[in-house]
Amino acid sequence: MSEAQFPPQPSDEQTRQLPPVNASEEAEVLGDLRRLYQPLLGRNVRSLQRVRARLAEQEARASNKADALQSPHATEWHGHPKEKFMRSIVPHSEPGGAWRRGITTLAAVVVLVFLVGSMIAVFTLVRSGKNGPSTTGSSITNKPTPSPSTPPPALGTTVYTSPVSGDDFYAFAWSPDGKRVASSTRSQVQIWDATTGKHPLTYMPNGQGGSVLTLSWSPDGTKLAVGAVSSDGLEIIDPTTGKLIRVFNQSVASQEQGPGLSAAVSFNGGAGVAATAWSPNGKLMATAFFGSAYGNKVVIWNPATGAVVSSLSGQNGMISSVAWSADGAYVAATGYSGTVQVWNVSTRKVIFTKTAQAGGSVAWSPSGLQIVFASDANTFQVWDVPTQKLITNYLAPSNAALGWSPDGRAIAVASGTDVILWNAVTGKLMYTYTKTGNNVRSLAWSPDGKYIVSGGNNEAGNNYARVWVAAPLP
Amino acid sequence: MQQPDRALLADAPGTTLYESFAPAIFAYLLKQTASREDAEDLLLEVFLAALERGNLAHIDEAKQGGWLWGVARHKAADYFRQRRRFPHVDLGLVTETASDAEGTEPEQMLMQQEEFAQLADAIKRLPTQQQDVIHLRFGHDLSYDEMATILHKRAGALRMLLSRALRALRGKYQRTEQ
Repeated sequence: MSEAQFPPQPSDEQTRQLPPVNASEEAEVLGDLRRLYQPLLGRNVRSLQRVRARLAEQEARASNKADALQSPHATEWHGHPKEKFMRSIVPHSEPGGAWRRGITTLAAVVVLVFLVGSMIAVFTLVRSGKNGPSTTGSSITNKPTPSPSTPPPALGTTVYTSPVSGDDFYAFAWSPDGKRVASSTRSQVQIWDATTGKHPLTYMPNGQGGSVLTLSWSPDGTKLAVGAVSSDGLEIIDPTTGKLIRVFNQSVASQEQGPGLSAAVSFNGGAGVAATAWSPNGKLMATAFFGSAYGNKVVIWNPATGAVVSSLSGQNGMISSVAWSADGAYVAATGYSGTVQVWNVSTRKVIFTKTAQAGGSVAWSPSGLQIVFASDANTFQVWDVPTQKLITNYLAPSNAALGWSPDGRAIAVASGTDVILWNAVTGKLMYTYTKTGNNVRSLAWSPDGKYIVSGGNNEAGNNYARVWVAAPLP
Repeated sequence: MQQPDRALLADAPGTTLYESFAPAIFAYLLKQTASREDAEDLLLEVFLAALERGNLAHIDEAKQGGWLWGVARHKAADYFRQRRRFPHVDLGLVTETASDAEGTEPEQMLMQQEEFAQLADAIKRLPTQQQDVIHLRFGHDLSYDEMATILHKRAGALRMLLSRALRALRGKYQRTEQ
């Protein structure tokens, strides 16, 4: 190819027209390059996500004193800001950084030595306490906690299997402190100790029991939202006592729409709830009611007062899943019309629409603005919402339950008889858990990302909830 | 639910400062520092500076980019001053020559994939500038305009470079395959 053939800045069109191009050869090289670079691209995307998460943290912290930060330097946007300005926010670019790092390392070593020392001391104390007559026996003879030297259970180890249940597990929700799990079936809600199943508490929705398709724990852990199909509305309960605190009902939700309540086609006398999710700051709730009589809207309301704040329309069928973005600015929903949509909550506008498996689930990345959903019965896709770019996909049958790991790396999907964990960036398989049952239809990550609870049944109709180790992933 | 300073992280789709500028600035910093951790730290500092400045969202995008890139280059210069790595070297020169130093990480990664060992080897034998364009295009998914800022070349020239690189790869790659 001679350079003289081309103007200095050929357009994309011209580049494509270069002779003598064999299109399939070019496509092959391009495809190989993409595959070759995919791991590196994945690492770079993860770096960007990590920095964004750190930035969001700092931003949240800084927003409190935003006024104080209006410094005179703010006008110096052109060219290089003053050295002083740089230093004030770049501690490690000061001279002497290496010296300071040395000190920090030394301090870390001292702390480590101290920690190990105190661990040995405590260990000795516990042992002597066991042998001798003890006045503090209750604290010492407590059931043994795993000692630091015990290696953590391996990935995929089942740490707890629930008693058999005749009904499918429809939903799981892990308490924010990671200690309790709420599970639901077609008859009731149970709340139990996450890794032992102890101290079970049963809640019967609507006072008599019923199918609970959705559960959502308030971020402060003090309340649990229970959405039953045949109920008078979304029930907010105290998860420590099982007492009903408030019912958010469909008549409130349909206020905005005027007529329609009388036309409510109820499932079992009531209108019920199909999906609900607490906003990340706990101040709002997004709820989709069961039945098109409510316009297939996602209702945004204040769970403290019961007042409707807003409603998001766009779905043309019953909604099956709603989820808030980590920053609380967006809500995603999908349903039986076969689309997934994202709304900007403050403007109520739909900003993202893609084809999705009917009746599936949607989840957001824990930091950032990506969503995962099943695009059809055999494909899961991760999309970046602001740029509308497909990030990656994973091919496997979808059972309509999925969850993004709290560290953002992995996505867990219920697929046939398995729970599959795959890399959220590269789309590569990380692990397959095969012991849940014949038909996995629900799962949830623990808040620390160490465990997953999943539920499945076998041919005999027996259902089990299993809590298993989901970390560390390769 | 209204977040303060939303423009920085999550304003209207496609218009956040971070979405618009972080990928290219990160690629630049990674290239300069040859350390993923340091590049992440510096990227955070660049956007913290934007956060500190406060009203960056209210100026036009070209100026936002100019300001952010100014901070990024400043940070990179600080980084080298502190490290005493390339003393008294003009940053423009560093950009041109740093690919040997930064090359270690991507190359190690590339060579780990035996399936594409021949392709990775063929890339290594390309002229440095072509390697740079391939790394930035496929390893960072950057546009020609973004690459132009990093490599101090015009977008059109980069298109040519990439086109030439692909052509060369096709030749070498297939010869080694046969």
